[in-house]
Amino acid sequence: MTKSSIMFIVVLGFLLILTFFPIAILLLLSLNETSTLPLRNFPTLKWYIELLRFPAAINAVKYSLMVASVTTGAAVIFGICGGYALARTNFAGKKIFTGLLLMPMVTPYIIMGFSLMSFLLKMGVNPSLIVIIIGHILITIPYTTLVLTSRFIALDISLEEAAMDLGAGKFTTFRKVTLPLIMPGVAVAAILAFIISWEDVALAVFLAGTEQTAPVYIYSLLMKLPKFVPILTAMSSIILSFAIGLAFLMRMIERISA
Amino acid sequence: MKIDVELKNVTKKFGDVVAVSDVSFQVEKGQFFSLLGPSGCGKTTILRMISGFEKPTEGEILIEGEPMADVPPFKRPTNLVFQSLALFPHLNVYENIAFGLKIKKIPENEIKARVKEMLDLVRLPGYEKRKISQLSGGEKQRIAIVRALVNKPTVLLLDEPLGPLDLKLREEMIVELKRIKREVGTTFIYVTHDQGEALTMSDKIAVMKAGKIMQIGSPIEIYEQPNSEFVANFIGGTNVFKGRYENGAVEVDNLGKITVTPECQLSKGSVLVSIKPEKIFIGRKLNALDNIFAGEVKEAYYQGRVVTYRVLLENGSSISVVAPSPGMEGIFGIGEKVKIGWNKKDSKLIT
Ligand SMILES: Nc1ncnc2c1ncn2[C@@H]1O[C@H](COP(=O)(O)OP(=O)(O)OP(=O)(O)O)[C@@H](O)[C@H]1O
Ligand SMILES: [Mg+2]
Repeated sequence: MTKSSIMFIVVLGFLLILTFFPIAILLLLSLNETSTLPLRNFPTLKWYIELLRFPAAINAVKYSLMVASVTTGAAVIFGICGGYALARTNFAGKKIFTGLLLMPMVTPYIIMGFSLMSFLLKMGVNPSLIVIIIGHILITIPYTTLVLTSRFIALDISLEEAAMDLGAGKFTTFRKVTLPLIMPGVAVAAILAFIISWEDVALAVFLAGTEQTAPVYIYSLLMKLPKFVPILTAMSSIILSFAIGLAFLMRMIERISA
Repeated sequence: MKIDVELKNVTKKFGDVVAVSDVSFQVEKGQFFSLLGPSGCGKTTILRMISGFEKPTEGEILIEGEPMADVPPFKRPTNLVFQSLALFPHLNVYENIAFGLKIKKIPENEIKARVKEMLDLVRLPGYEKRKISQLSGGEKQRIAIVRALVNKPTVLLLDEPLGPLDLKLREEMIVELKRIKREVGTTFIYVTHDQGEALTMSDKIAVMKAGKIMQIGSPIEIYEQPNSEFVANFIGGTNVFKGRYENGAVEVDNLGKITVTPECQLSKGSVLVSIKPEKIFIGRKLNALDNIFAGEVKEAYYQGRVVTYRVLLENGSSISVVAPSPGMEGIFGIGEKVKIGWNKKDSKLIT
């Protein structure tokens, strides 16, 4: 190993510690008797049980699940259609169209959330879960489309032609050949969309009405009293573990299907 | 004779590229018809037009007399064995072969019977449950062929199905294909760039060059009576000399007079003469041949069954000769003085 690569690994290791140390502390504290170190009576589910006594917190998790599920379904369907169109057809302005489609990936969510909220309010639409879902669909479509476009491009067209040659119409070909073959891509796109929606606060904070998603709920509580902090560690840990689990699943699917 | 497939003045352009140019031919029912030509000459494009994946820019395609212009691929009575095989990787052997039958809503027990019959036909009985990734190259080839054949198409289209196989397996598969063809009797249109395959299997061959058909005929006609230098060279290689025809002989620069059998009543004029290397005799002494020239062996390649020589003739021309190995006089070495000669019936005029 060269000197520079050792240096690089040391720096990278430091950055990783910086990333994971606070998260590890958070997870530890969620299982701790008090809201600060040192550990006392560890591990305890005290804060998790406490959390159950906050119906607003439970509801927030429910709303989050709902928003993320609907977002995922819609974003994946858009992604399949969009990905297929981008991979298989050529039209004037395709590059510009693709560029515009990917814009939300580089636009700060806070700006998107703010402008979307102003626009919808002018249109007479009030913030609500539906509005959050619309916002989340907008920010996840670029990801699902991108993932699926590359899967469609990688798919050998002659497989679809073979199905048609054997008598399958366009729809049957899609259902029996195309879709099963891009299924790993669909799963990856779905998990990606779910995680983005599940974790978003910047956009949802503008679009939420009385029903708050979990990250928005945490955010709004943090603005209030510090005595809520211990149950927040429990709630954050739940959100985080779920996202990490999904990310892990996504990597597995990617590895198996590669 | 019933015509299964007919192309009438078919041209296909991709933008500025003319892939197929004014091609016409007829394929009779039950015929093994080959499209033979070098890479990029438009063979795949013709198959894709017959199966409906490309539309002719000009001209018309008829199958069993029906114009195909408005018939989509999934409604044509053709099945294609793709150059890449295109077996479905997510389905097993049974599901691959049954794919077309399931779409036609054939009852499950009949599908089972027909798949079994097909696997027997290609001598892979019991392969139903295998995954595609568990098959060898030759097995994939055979599954791809029966996945198409099981649908009982009017015409089976095969796009270089033996392309990626090694020589030994290819030879086995050629025999196998001929047997399958004999047993099912379906019309085959077979695409290849390998003249050996085409000559061995076909009833009729269309030799193509740059989108055009150069010659159509039986293997014997194509081999023995090539109508152009290209066909003569493409089919097994040949010696071509340029000369002037007059009274049953051709005067060739740097060689002399070659006697020929006129196929048609030629008037005087510039012609090409083709002499196949294996029609030429080589020896220390030769007689009773119509054309005999003296020369010196410049190159000799031992190839097992035959030896290929390049002989520089006294008058400056060079000629290649394929002789049995070892011949009556053994194998000639480089630098040996020899005579070469052939009969006038083997001097083919190309006009
Ligand atoms: N979709 C396409 N777009 C543009 N050009 C094409 C297309 N398909 C084929 N061509 C061109 O048409 C010509 C004929 O191609 P084709 O695939 O029919 O050749 P082929 O005889 O099958 O060659 P091979 O033996 O290499 O398979 C080639 O010059 C090719 O580049
Ligand atoms: Mg081809």
